[in-house]
Formats: sequence, structure tokens, C-alpha cells
Amino acid sequence: MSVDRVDDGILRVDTSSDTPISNVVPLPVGTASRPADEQRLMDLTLLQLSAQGDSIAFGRLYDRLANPLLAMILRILGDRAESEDVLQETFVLLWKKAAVYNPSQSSVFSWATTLARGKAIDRLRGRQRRLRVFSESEEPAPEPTTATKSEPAQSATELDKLLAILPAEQRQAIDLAYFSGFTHEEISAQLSQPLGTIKARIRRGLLKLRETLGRAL
Amino acid sequence: MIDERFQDQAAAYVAGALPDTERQVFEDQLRGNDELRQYVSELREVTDRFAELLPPVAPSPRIKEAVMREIAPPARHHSTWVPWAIAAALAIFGGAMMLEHETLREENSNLQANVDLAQLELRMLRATEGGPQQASAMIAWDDRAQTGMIKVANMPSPEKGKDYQLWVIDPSQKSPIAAGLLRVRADGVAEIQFRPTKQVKQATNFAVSLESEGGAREGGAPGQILMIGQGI
Repeated sequence: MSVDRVDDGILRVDTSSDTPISNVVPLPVGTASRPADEQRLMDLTLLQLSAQGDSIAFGRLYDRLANPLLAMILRILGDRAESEDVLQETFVLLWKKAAVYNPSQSSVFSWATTLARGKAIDRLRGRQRRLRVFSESEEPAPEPTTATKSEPAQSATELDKLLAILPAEQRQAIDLAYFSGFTHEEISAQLSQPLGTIKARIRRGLLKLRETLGRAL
Repeated sequence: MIDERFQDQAAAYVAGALPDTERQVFEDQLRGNDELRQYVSELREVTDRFAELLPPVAPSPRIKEAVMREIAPPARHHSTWVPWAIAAALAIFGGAMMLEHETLREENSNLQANVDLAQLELRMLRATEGGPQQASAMIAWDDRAQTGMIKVANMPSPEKGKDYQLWVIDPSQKSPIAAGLLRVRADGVAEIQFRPTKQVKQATNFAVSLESEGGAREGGAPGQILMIGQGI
């Protein structure tokens, strides 16, 4: 069943197909319309339900957020199995912290993204620490950082296309910070650039991206 | 105007480039600085989009199973606070969060609904082209209990001699099923618990219409549809 447009105020009901409500809910996740108010509102409602111990609502929240979160974790870690582990940890953390979520500070999606990224970066740093230990003990070591990624190379994503509008040095600074988990001091040392320069590159890069995304909306 | 040093800190914070100690200091500053918080929020819109601009990756089903196992004990199926959560979300939607939260908590006893969450369906309603564009509504529908709750925000009062009426769309019925009249308060909010006038076999959508005062006659069709449900 579907409800046709009601421009003239008349409700037209097509009963030729039966689409149960469960097949209508939820909307696809990871679409460009995610920040829309309706999406935020639904995420918020489901999280509030979760905070009160409702695992069914939490399951729905999982369905809405898992795909984009896994995409981001995978971008950071590169390894599918490890990324799924991190996704699982992230959702357990979301469940535990649901009651302390503050909607005045960020959207649920933003908050979940922050937690997922934090978990992924922790995992990445653990991997890097192990590499250093391997290196010091002269044991055979896994390939460094991103080279450990086992997923096949993918064609340029919409994210890559967006980042491509930035000058290379700004793109590199943001990429090293956000997706590789380096602090600005570490980036400064790695690129042999003054700390102030790195900070400015990150800021200018984010502002440029914001301007571009704003035009695209 | 935020000075450049703070702008740099904010950008590094959003990009995740602040060392832990600096991050904690910055978060303390954020709490007391609305302008800085707004700046961070605007930058965060960028990094929020990063995840969305990647091709979504579906996790294997065992991950959800593992999460759901880990967060046991199982759900509280019967809840009395669902209306509060929905209404609170709408309040946030309308930008009156904290004050409304307290009010809604107090009102909770009046809003109690025996809603089975296993059956709960949530729907947003949006204005049709001829409807009130600023209005928003959310419905929670419990199929098993044949009851639901709707909260509408930013709804203008109907003209004199008219009423808003709620309808449930059930394809097994020739006409939508009437589910009650909405009385809009002075603050533009209308909220009711409703029970449709007939048994609903399958609620596939909901609508709000404009009717003559008192609503459409029993078994009658809706008048002008002002709001209609969206999948969420």
C-alpha cells in the first residue's frame, strides 16, 4: 500500500501492494540527508529510549548508524575484522554512555562518530606501539600503519573527492590528524613544519571544506 | 569574535589533533564559551560529513547479535516513559529543550501509555503542500495494544468551526480509520493518546486532516489532508 501525493487535499490510497510498516522503517542510512532534522530527531529519540534500558530501540539505532560508522572505522584501520571489533566496542560504549549524552553539545550521529573514531584511533595507536616494540626487538614486524590495511584499494570515494579540493598540505594535515590519529605536535615533527603552520593548515582546510559543503547543500 | 589562537585550537580539537591534556583544557574552555562552542559545532559539521561521504559498509550480522547479547538484560517491554522521550525529542526539535524537559517529566503521569516497545512504530508526519509547513509531528503506534500517541509542534490553531483529526491508514479498510481530534494549545502543541475507532490490522501510515468542528462523521472519509507520515 502507498499513499499518493495529496496536493489537492485528497488522500489517495493505493492498496495494490502491501508494504508493512516494518519495511518502511528505517530510511537508508549514510545518505546525504542524514543531518536533516528528522534524522536527528529519530536518532535522539532512540538514544533516549536506549538510555532507559530499551534494547529494541538500541537495535534500531544500531541499524541506522552501523553502516556509516563502520565505513569510517574501516577508513582508519583498513582491516575489516578489526574494524568490526571496534564497531562492536563502540556500540557497547554507546549503550553504556547513552544516559550521559548531552544533546546540547552534539547530534547523536556526531557523538557516535566521535566515540567510534576514538576507539579506532586507540586501536591504531596500539598497533603502532606494537610496531615500535617489534622494531626495537628486531623481530619481524607487520608492515607499518596504513600498509597493514588488508582491504583492497577502492576507487575514490565522495570523501576523497571532497578532500581533493584542498591544497595538498591542508589535506595531508587533516588526514594525518583525523584518520591517522596524530596530534598536531606529531604532525609538525613528521612534516618538519612549525606547529603553528600545522594548526593553521588544519583550520584553513576545515573552513574550506565547510564552505564547500555549505555550497553543496 | 574568536581570536585566531582559539580558532586554531578549535580546528585541532575537531580534527582530533589535540593531545589529551590540551583537549581536556579546551573542553573546559568550551563549557563556558558559547561563541567558541558554536564555532566548534560549525566545524564539526564538516567532520560529521566524513563518515557520510564514505560508501556505507554493512557489518556482518554477527556484530549486531554480539552487541545485543552484550547489552543484556533484555528490554523493558512495557514502558511508561516513551511518550516523554518522544515529546522531549520534539521539544529539542523545537529548541525549548531544558525547560520543556522538566515540564514533560512532571506531565509524565498524565501521558502514561502502556506501549509495548516490541510493537512500537515511530513515524514523523510532515505537512503536505497545503498544510502548515512549520508544523512537525511524531507518532508512536503500538499495533498490539491498538493504541498510540501523537505530539504535534508548531501547529496553528484551526480556523473557527474547524478541527484537526487524526487518521490511521489501513489497506484492509476502504477508508482511513478515524483516530481522534487534535486540540492545539496556545503554544502550538497538540498531543493525544489515541485509539482508532476500528480495529487496525496494519497501520501503514497516519495523517492529520482539517475537518468541520467535531470531526468527520463516523465511517466518513477525511477532508483536506494537512500532514502525512514519512518513513523513519
